[in-house]
Amino acid sequence: MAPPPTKSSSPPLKRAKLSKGALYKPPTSEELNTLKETDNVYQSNLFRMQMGELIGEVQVKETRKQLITKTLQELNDVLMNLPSQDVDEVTDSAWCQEDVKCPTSWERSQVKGQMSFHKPASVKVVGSFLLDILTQPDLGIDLAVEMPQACRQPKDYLNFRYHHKRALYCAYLANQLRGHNLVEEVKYCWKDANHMRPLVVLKLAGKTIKHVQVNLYPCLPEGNFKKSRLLPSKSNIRRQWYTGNKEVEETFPSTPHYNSSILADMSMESHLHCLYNAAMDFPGFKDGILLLKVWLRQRQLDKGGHAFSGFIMSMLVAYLLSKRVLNKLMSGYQVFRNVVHYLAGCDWTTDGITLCRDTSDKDLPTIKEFHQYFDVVFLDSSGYLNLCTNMTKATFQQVRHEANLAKVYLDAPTLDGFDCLFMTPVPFARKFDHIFHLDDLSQLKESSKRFKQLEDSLMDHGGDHVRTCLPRLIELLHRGLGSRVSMIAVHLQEDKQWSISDTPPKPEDLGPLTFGLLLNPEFAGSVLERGPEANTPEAEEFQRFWGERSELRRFQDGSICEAVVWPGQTAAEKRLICSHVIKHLLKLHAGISPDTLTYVGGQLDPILSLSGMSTPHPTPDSKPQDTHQDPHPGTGEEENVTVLQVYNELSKDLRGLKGFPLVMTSVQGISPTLRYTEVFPPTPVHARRSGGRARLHGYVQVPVSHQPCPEWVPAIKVICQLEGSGKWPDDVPAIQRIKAAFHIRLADMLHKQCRLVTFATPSYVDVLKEGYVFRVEVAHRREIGLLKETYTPDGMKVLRDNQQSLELERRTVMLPRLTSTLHGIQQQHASFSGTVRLAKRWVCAQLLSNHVPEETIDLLVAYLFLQPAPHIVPGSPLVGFLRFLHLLSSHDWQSAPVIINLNNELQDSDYDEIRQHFSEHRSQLPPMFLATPTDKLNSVWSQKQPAAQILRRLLELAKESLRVLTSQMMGLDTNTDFKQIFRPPLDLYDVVIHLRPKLVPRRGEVVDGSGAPVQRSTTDGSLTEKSSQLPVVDFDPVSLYLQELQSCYGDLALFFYDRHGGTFITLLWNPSAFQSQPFKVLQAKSMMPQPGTSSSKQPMMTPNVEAIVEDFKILGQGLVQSVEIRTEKWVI
Amino acid sequence: MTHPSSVAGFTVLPIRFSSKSKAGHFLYYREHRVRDEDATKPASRTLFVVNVPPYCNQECLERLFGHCGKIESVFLQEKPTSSNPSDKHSKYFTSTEHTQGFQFAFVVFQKSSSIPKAKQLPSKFAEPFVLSTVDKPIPTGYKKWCSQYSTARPDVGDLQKEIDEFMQEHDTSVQEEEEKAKEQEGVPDEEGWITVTRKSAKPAVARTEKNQRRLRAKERKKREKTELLNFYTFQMRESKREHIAELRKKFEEDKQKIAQMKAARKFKPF
Repeated sequence: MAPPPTKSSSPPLKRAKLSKGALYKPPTSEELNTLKETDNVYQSNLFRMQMGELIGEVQVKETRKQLITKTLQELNDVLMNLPSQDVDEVTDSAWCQEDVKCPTSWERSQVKGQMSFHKPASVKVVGSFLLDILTQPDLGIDLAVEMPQACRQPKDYLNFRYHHKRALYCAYLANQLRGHNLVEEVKYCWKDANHMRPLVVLKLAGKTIKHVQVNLYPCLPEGNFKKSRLLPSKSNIRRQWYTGNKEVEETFPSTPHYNSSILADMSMESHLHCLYNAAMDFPGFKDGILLLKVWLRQRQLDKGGHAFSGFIMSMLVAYLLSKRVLNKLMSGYQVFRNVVHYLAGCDWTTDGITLCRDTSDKDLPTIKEFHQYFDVVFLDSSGYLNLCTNMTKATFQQVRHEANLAKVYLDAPTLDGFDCLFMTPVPFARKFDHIFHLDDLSQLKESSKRFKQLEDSLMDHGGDHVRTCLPRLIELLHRGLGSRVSMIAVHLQEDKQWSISDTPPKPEDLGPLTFGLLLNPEFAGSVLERGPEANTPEAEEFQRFWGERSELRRFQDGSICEAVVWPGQTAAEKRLICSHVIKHLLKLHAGISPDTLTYVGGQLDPILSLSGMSTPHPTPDSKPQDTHQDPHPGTGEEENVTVLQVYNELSKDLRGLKGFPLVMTSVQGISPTLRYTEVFPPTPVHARRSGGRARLHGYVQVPVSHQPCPEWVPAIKVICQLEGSGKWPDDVPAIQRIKAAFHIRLADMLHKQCRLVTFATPSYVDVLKEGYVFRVEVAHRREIGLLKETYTPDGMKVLRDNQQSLELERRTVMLPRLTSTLHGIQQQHASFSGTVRLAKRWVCAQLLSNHVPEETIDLLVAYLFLQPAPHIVPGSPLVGFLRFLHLLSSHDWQSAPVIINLNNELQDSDYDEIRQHFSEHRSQLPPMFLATPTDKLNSVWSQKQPAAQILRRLLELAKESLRVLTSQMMGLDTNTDFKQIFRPPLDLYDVVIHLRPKLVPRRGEVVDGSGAPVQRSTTDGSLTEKSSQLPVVDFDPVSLYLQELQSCYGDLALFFYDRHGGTFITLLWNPSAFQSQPFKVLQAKSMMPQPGTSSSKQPMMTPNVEAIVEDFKILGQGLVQSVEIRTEKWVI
Repeated sequence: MTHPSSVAGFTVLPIRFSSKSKAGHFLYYREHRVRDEDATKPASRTLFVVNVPPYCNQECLERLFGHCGKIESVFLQEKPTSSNPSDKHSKYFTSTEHTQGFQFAFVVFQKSSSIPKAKQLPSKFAEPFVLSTVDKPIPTGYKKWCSQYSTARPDVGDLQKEIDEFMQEHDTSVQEEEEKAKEQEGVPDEEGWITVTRKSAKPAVARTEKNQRRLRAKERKKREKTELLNFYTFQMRESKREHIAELRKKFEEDKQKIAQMKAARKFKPF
């Protein structure tokens, strides 16, 4: 069915074999040592080997390096022989052709000065390439191009003259290099998205050096300007000049960012020296930095405007070396380990660090002074330049957060630490519980006006509103959200490049600004923000902050306080309170209209809400006040809680029965609802509402054949374990009779003592309570044992699992245990339910509901919550679902088990045992292998399903859905219909059987409801009225039909269906069954002899497709509307 | 469309569900032949039918083969075993789910002369044989499921009655057995063996797997106690050799693991 796997699955691990001679030959002492080491540090040894492989993979190969070096030399020659061009005035642009624009974004009219273009004074390779710490596959090689003396004037540092000249020099380089045969493409880019520092990006020509990008940095010699002139406190932009208004009072505000941008150009060489010294005689340096870079890159922290770049990381290693935290004997692994430990504990936002050891310089400011001007401080060896000038607090905190997680992964033996740290990407959309985009950044111009005292800062940033406002925005969000979130992060976008003939983009045009929130599950959904007591100065401040949303409230303890109340009745609404807070505050304080803010958090909620099917999701611009009138439909959490309350009452009723002959040792639920994993939890029903679809049989409703199907009422299943007693009989049929007798007794007593409507059948009792139907089944442990009993030929009694005993054990022992454990997970993690239900809905929507057992999905999601590495526990259903898709599509099902450590019961040794057993018996184990503490070696829940080809299909679907959903969430996809991934592709199926919707009881659950007339759960007055009729329970004609199809034609075809209201069944023929074969008694089912064969030869048999298609209609008489044959494959 | 009249010795008979059906299945049958014969299915009078569609019931087969002579009984089975399906059929308790797929049938005629007649049967019909007729319609689909729903909910009184009867029978049979066992207590059988049970005067341990294993473990322990370890020089030398061999194996396994991961491109981070 599914196309062949794209990824070649590796063959199962064979036990290594050495010849006997090799195994027993006398060892050398060296060999003995390595062997012993392997034995002693097994885990970390494998880890070390893995890291070695990784480093080999990412580092630049020697041959490639030589090629690049050769090309760089040629490029150097070209640059050093550039012709000169004379220009008098910097504003003059006649020197260059029309199609090369100067990469500046500010008005240049005011810049004065002389300029002439000459070949660079020198060209030097700086940065990673020289130190051999570049990571594959995309290589960025930095060349420092020193601007010649002729281009420079004294006092260039004033009023952007240097920046302007730098930009012009870029244009000169671009103009000269354009069209050169060494160069394929010339582009501009802003260094760290800082529009004061453009650079020229060259894509080199030639196949061998693909993916190589050469960055040309125009720069200055080290002592060009006096460094003290560029201290952060100094002012180098004149306000009169900047505003062009001579009347403005000259105040000399400090311009720290402006100064740093010049200083950085003067320090390139000294930084290289610093790193070079660190790397000398330090073999672990390179490996360590490569590992750190891979780690950063996987977390998307190393690229973009305010990133923690690889350069900063290298400088940090140099710093730690100087502080003797590292020494030159350490291996790469140790370097990585120590840096991570250091990062986890440090805080550069309050206690910055410096590489400068020279304390003799009197002018040198203290670190404290730097903290006044910069968010994050890490000074270079001169002590003047802050390397983290552009970094925001948010970025640093994110790095620290990741380091803290990494620290744990390094030492966790049960975890695949290597995979978590280096191999699994942690993209923004999957990392954060909620994200939101500011789509229209031009509004930040308004914001920078609204925030006070930003004029100077704006000037310092050269008019870049985004950079100026960002710290303030983060501060505002932190204050407003408070304990609701544990982290706010800003997405780092990769530096955008643009063609040299385009006008440079404005900082505001660089695309949406994306924020990510990690929610604090305890407080994120609180509806009330309690402020200070009324009539205090703090209260006034509170009012100012919250605007008109602040109101006076009287609290239970009698105090009257300022407070803000957010609308939130359902869990779905509560999850979105953060979005209300953010929209409100950004509108109030930053003038950002809620229309231009896309909040990604509740987009998938409509999938889970029944009544909300017809109404669209509340548009992002609907104000919080509006949602009061039009309540959010809710996503089923509330209904589920009600079911559990009723269930608890029922179990109390059951335990409290007087006069029941045996003690109930346990009353345990097994339905998914009772572990919060039912996609649509049941709602109370009313017998009266049968509407003629059912006929009354005593007090029991039964369906009628000429009417539409009665409303879907699931049976909520409960298992009642009874105590052992000598009176239980010793054979299975007798136990079954006794159980039936107990059912009758139970029904009778519940009816008499608790006044419940009950009905007993041989295998269960149906109990109607508060509109829910519970199906209680009595169980006795001994029955399982008896079913297992068989005798060996010599008369010994042995216990052997068989289908019946396993089925009973699964239902009465394992499922109750699973249900209570998962119920516990939901108590700990509120997003569990939403995640599982989205996952299940998705699997069903892909028509795989009868191929993937529900419990496997429950367990896989439980795994995400119990072992969230490399993330933390999902804080919203959406992100949980995203990670579920990722788990499905990225896990290596062939060679690794998924170990779900429920209740934390598994020890390290258990993990080893499971892995060992798994790799030894892989071929006998199911394709999807899930191990739990009570089921370490068999993977009970996935034993029969999903089959290998279904799993493969599931993975492909997951991969595609993940891609679509991620790009939708990140605002990259123009199609914002989030239901898209819940609509299955139908093109690959051979036959589609269309069903009559009237006989599909669950049709209200479809993804794209047309406002179907299925009304459910109206909590009107009629609820109080007690019903005395037992409704039609658990009656789904479609599933009965599917069962019949499966048992008749399971060998010939695969059937696919969406349990949640699908109105069609699709089918794929099994190609191997269509090969004609001779007649065999056991394989003659629905086969026909091929006509026209000569009588001498035996006729061959082929499937009787026409009759089978006819059977589809016969077996589903009434239910089937039409059978659509889509392919001609079956015609033989 | 023509079809062969026989296949591998089986006679081919086309059937239709109803007169409106456009296509239908084929029944394949021949005389019943087995080595160990069952009394209810005498080979001389029994027809073995293959590929019976799920909606084809006993009544249909009787009607169809009634053309060849009087029928004694019809057995519908999931598997073509010649033994009889469970003798006593309870109305409410079944050990296995009722089969829903294609089945096998054994049609037992009263006279053996009906068998050759059956082989000529296909030529008698010009049209395929119709299963569901106006007089005797076969319920399928929604109608069938509705009636199944009702029958799955029997009258509680009847159910109780059946249970009581069964249990009474069960209790007496258990009691009888016990008494019989008591009688035979200590009495040797023809070969002189005496049966000992849990309830005997000298109770015996049941022969179960668990007990057997326990016993074996005990013995092993005993043996280990008496054995000398690392006593002779050759033992020490051997154990060292074994240890190194074990380590080598492990190392080799690790190397293989890495090689495999590498082959699966597990080290390409981006």
